[in-house]
Amino acid sequence: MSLGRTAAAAYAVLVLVVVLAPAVVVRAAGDRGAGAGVVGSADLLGAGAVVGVVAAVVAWRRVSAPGAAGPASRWIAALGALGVLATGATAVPTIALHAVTGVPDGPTLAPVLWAGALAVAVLCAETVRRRLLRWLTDEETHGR
Amino acid sequence: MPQLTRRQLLAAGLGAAGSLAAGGGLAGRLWPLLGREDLVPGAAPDLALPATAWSTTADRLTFAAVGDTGSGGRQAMAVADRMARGYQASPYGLVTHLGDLCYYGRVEDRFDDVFVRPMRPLIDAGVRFELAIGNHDGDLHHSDESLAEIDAELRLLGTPARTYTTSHGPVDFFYLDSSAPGLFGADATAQVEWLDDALASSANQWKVVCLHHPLFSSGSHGSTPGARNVLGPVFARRSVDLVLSGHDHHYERTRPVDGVTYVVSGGGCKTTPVGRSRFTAAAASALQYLHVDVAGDRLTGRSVRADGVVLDRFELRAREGR
Repeated sequence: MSLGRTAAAAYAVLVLVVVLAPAVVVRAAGDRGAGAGVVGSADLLGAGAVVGVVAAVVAWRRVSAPGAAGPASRWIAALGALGVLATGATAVPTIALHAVTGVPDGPTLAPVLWAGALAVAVLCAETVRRRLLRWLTDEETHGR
Repeated sequence: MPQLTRRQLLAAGLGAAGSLAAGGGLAGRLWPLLGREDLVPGAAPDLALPATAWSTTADRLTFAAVGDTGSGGRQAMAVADRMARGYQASPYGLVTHLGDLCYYGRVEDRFDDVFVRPMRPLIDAGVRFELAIGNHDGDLHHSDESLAEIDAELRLLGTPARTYTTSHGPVDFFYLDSSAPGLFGADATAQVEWLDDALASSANQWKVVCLHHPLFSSGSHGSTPGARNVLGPVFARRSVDLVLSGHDHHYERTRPVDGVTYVVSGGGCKTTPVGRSRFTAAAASALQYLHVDVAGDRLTGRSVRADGVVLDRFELRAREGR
């Protein structure tokens, strides 16, 4: 496997970890306080895994597929987006959950809300990546 | 190595700085916040309990004590479910709530979510709830709005006042307002004098004081500054047996201090770390409640974690002459 492919795979794994991490934090807190498995969080982990795998595949394609931008620009944009994703994947679900306190619980509310919030964070990160890449590509196209 | 453009250098530098800041923010603030709070909605306990199954006599009482339950989230539901299961195993007719009934909003708006839904099995079984008001129950206690919030909470729970006494079987309970200004402002002297008189005139076998802010705690808030000086001598002089509090989100029991045992039972929906101090007999950062059996001259307490594990068990003997 070439260095570029290895780096792309590592980046995709990082994206998956970043998206899954908040659900792992919630689960760990519940297990620590109440004993393993008492405070259910499998639905959040499942929602995080679904969004995380999709985000990881998309991220892998973005950094590994050749395009108009050079590899340096692609990687700089991708790493910038990762910072946004890392913050957003925790902050957006936290804000969303805080906003719905008081909404009666149904079995799907928490995982749907969680997945939706993560999807918003992924979209924010993708928007940042695209804009950053366009800004960098402009300079490459129009000279230094 | 390819030569980077100015924009690439700028973006790479800002990206690196941003990622470092994001990593620091996540590890230092966001993840601890997410782990500390109880924001995920949860299903309410679904148990049907036999009504009024407890037996309270002149020398026998079983009660539960829990604090800081006010999230309405999954962890709160897990504790409420354990309390209901605790009732199934050893029925009790009284819950002393140690304050902070409502987080994340106004109690008038959230009363169903933070109290009625989680406690429904116990409410339907006829269990009585008595509240010691907490700081989150009123936010800034000096404002009219926060005092109105406290009044709403007392009214919703049918609590007679911010400070009051009740008597159940062999135990007299004394509920205090430990927030400012209740304990530390202009009203403080009046409350302490009232408490001193109430304790002096109490003729029951056991005296249990309930207040939100702990006099002794090794947790994140810690021992409440000044409270020990104001209340400690009164508790010792009037031979209080047990002081129950919340505020810190953990369980902790002290060794007897001037004959008085202090318990923090604040793991009603969140957990925060707890250490050990020279006064600590037992401590755990856990979602829990306290199950107390009083039988004659013995009081037995069990701190029960949400999964049913008993974190601590202690026994007190009645004071001589009672």
